[in-house]
Order: sequence, then C-alpha cells, then structure tokens
Amino acid sequence: MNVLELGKSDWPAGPSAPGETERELVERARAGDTEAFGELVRKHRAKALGLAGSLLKDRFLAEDIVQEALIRAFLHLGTLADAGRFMPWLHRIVRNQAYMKLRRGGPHAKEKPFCSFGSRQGPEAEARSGGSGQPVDCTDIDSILFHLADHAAEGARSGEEPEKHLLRQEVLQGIHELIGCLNKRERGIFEARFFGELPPAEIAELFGTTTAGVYNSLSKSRAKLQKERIRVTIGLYVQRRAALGLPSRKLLVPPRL
Amino acid sequence: MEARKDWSKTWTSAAAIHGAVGYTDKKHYSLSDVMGLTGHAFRMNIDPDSVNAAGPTSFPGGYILRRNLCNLGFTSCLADPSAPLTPDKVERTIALVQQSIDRGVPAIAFDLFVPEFGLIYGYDDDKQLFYAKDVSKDGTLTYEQFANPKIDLLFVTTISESLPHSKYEVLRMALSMIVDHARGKEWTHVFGDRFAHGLAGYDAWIGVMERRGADEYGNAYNTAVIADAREFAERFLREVAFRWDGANVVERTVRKHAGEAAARYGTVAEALGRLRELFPFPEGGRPKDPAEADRAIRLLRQAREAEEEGVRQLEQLFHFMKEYYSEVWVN
Repeated sequence: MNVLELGKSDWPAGPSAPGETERELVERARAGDTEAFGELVRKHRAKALGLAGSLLKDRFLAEDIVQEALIRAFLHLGTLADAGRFMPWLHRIVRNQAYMKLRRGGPHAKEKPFCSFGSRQGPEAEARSGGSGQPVDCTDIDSILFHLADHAAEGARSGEEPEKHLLRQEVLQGIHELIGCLNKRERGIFEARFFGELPPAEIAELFGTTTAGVYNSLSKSRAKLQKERIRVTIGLYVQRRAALGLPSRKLLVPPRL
Repeated sequence: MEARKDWSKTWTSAAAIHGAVGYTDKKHYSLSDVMGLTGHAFRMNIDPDSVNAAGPTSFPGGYILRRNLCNLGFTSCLADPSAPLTPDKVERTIALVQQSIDRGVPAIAFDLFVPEFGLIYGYDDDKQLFYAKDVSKDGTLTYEQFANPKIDLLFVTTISESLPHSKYEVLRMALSMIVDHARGKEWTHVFGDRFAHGLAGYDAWIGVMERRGADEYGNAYNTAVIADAREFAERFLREVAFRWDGANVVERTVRKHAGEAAARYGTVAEALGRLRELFPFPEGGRPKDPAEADRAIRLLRQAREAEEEGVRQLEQLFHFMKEYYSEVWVN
C-alpha cells in the first residue's frame, strides 16, 4: 500500500506546491515564512494523530458511495415496482435479520446465504492481497456485496471504530438477503437501477484496481461534492437569517493580540 | 536576553483567551493574570522524537480552553465537529460565532490563518465574511473557507456568562490545572502519550538533545514559547505574592508559597532565556551540533531542577487552598 504517497498528495494544498518536501518547508519556515510554519504544525499534528495518508479511511468513503447507491437503488425499486411490497421489506430486514433467515429454506433456498461466500475465501486469498479479498467481478451484485461486507468485517476486526463497521456489515447483509428474495424481474430492475447509479466502469475503477490513485481521485471528487454542499448550505443559511430579520453585519473593535 | 520584554504579548495560546476576555466585565485581568490563571504560563508539551513545531498547540483544545475559561469565571460553549462536516453542523457553528459577536465578545477559533488560537470579531452575511485576527494577521475569511478547516476538525469556543468567583476559587482552580499538567496527569484525549507534558517534557527534550535529534525549527519554536511562558509564570507568581495582603493565614500562606515558587520560576526563565539565545526563532541555530546540544542539556537540567522545586511549592499551596472558600476573611 502506498500510504505515504497518498498522505502527501492528500494534504490540503496550501499556497505551497503540493510536492514540497518537509525539508523545503523547514527551510522556508526558518527563513520566517508564516505559511510554512502553519503547514509544518498541521503536518506534525496530523502525523501525531495518525491522520495523514489514511488509505483505509478513503476506502471507507469509497464504500460509502457504493452502499449509498445500493440503498438508493432499493428505494427506487420500491417506487418503480411495488412500493407496498418493497419498502416494508427493506425496513423489516434491516431491523430483523432473523426473519429473512427463516425464508432461506423456502422458495429461495437456491440463493446462497451470505455467510457462505466467506468460505470462498481461504487463507490464500487473504494472503494474496493483504485482506482485501479476491478480485471483484464488477458486473455481479453478489460479488460486489461480498467485497464490501468482507471489508466491513475486516474493519470491525481491526478494531478501529468497530461499531461503525459492524453497522455497515449489518446493512450490507440486509441488502444481500433482500436480493435473495427478489424474483428475476425484480432483480433485473434493481440491478439496472444500481448500475445506473454507479456504472460498472466506475465500480471496476473502485475495486478492480485498488491503487492509491483511484481512491485519491475518488476522495477528491468527494471533497468537491462536500464543498459544494457546504457552499449551498451557507447560502441558504444566510438567506434564512435575512428572512428572520437577524442582523446581517456586526463588527467589534479589532482585538489586541 | 531581549532588551525588554513586552508584557502585552505572548507566544502561547493564552493570547487569544486574553484577547476575548478583554471584551467582558473581567477586562481587568492582565495578560499575566490570564497566563497564570489558565496555566498557560506553566505548560510544556514536547514531541519526544524531534521537539517538532506542533507541540505547543497539540492539546485537546475543547477541554483545556473551556477549563481555562471556567477558571477565569466564565461559562462557555464549544463546537468541534470533525471533518467531513455536515451542513447542519456548519450552520450551528457559524451561528455560535455570530451569537457571541452579537453579545459583543469575539469567538475563539483555531487555525484561522495559522494553526494557533485566534479571534473572530465580526461577520457580514451579505459578503459571507468573517473578520478575524490571530498572531499572524488581521484579515477576513469567507464562511466557506471557515467551514473547510485545514485540520481534522472545526474548532470554536465562545464565552457565555460571567460568574462571580471568589479569588480563592480562581487561584485554587488555576493551581489544580498547573499541578495536574506538571505531573503528567492532564487528560490528553486523542493526543495520547505522543507528547510529553509537564516536567516529563524536560526529560523528553533532554533525550532528544542526547540523540542530537532536535529539529532546528521546532526546537527553536518550542524554546521561544516555553521561555516566554516561564517569564510570565514568574511575573504572575510575584504579583500573587504581592497582591495577597497577609491579613489572615490564607493570605500569608499564599504569599509565602507564591513568593518561593516565583524565585524558582525565575531560575527556570533565566535558563530557558539562555537556551533561546542558543536557538533563536525562526532560524534555530545548530541543535544537532554536539557541543551546542550539550550546552542545551545543561540548561534544560538547570531549568528542570528549579521547576521541580517550583511545582512542589505550588502543590503545597494547592493542598492548602483546597480548604478555603471565602472572598474576604477578617480574623
């Protein structure tokens, strides 16, 4: 994993060149450059907190996006097909997985239980890619779901925010079990919707090549999206304050510092 | 040594606190009062690998700053949502800043222009701008820039109400913080044991010098901040010894311990002042040079020894002060 390199390029680009080495920053700081001072402090601070180059965090974000697309696909399926049937299903399954497990033995017994995918992954598979599992067939929903759940389980084991990973695992499992209950036509609608949200090419990029670069670009577009979201929020906030007749401007005497 | 120290300026994070306090009914607090009562005059936070520049500000700000404000007799509010920020939290944080400014008191924020604590003292909704000042500059930043922090969280603390604390309480709370910090008992939150604080900071610093591993820039910055802090520590303690008038046993005990501690911190400040001559900020001198590093070790040992005695005085005073609560005691 190219953690360090990602960390560097991920660093908030200040006025300095992105590729600037610590040495160069120190030189500038020693010459009295305040910007360089700031960057050094932030860099050391992040390093101490273990934030720089957190590849796992980026992967988490990437998987968030896929999971969101999955859920959106379901919601859409609900409106497209039979809302009265699918929406309660989705909710019920996330709440109560035991219910679905009972159905396993029924008309959908052919669908593999989710946990059985785990047996595909022997110790060699884990050794091959440092825990990230086997290659993902990005046109196959089961394969994608397996990949995501595998990461969630791995994340839960690794001990960092285990409850978050466990929750994710539960949601994914719920989604997978729901798929097991779909008939052919319903599943077709679901897949069309999901792959419409997230074209296979994009998924391939996400999982096929697990390079730092892909995650990096993904995290950058995510950051852009985040920025846009905040910009819109601020615009609305300011409008709301004006509508409420709150003061639009106030300036105190500049402090002595 | 510097020609003359400017007692209205400090290298520590107490600058922002003092700045904000100046807009309240407690504006009579001088910078050295604030430095002492918040414990910033007594802090030290050393990176044990290279004494890097992040040390002085790598403490849990939400906890320390609000405890500081509590010591000074204020209730306070905090926003510290972590990135990526949700729209809702951005709105509520901006609202917190505006409410404080509407009450006439600037909000304390981190990393406005540089990663230190600074003040937001004005807003303009039409232009979506904040007016802000920190040690590096006085300027503006857009709401959007504000909501896109360069560190992993968006930090704002605001002063709410001013409470009438007795001087006994204020001094006792300050001593509690100072002693906890010195003895390494302060809560460090996410920073864990990555920095050595209090007296242990000297040992970590000496260790780095023995390995000839000090980062020129970070070492000079830490030296500047801590030397400045201890000069304030001495001044603060001398003022305490002078102001408590000796009319009863508490007053006399405070005078005695504060006076003795002041002398110790004077020795600390002197040793660190010489260290500062060796490693001037920002250029930093040659801390990796064996001869220079050995000189630094001698000075750090002198400072540590004196500070250890100073801390002991303050501990005794703290244990004594735990029992007294009056504002005025005629006896």
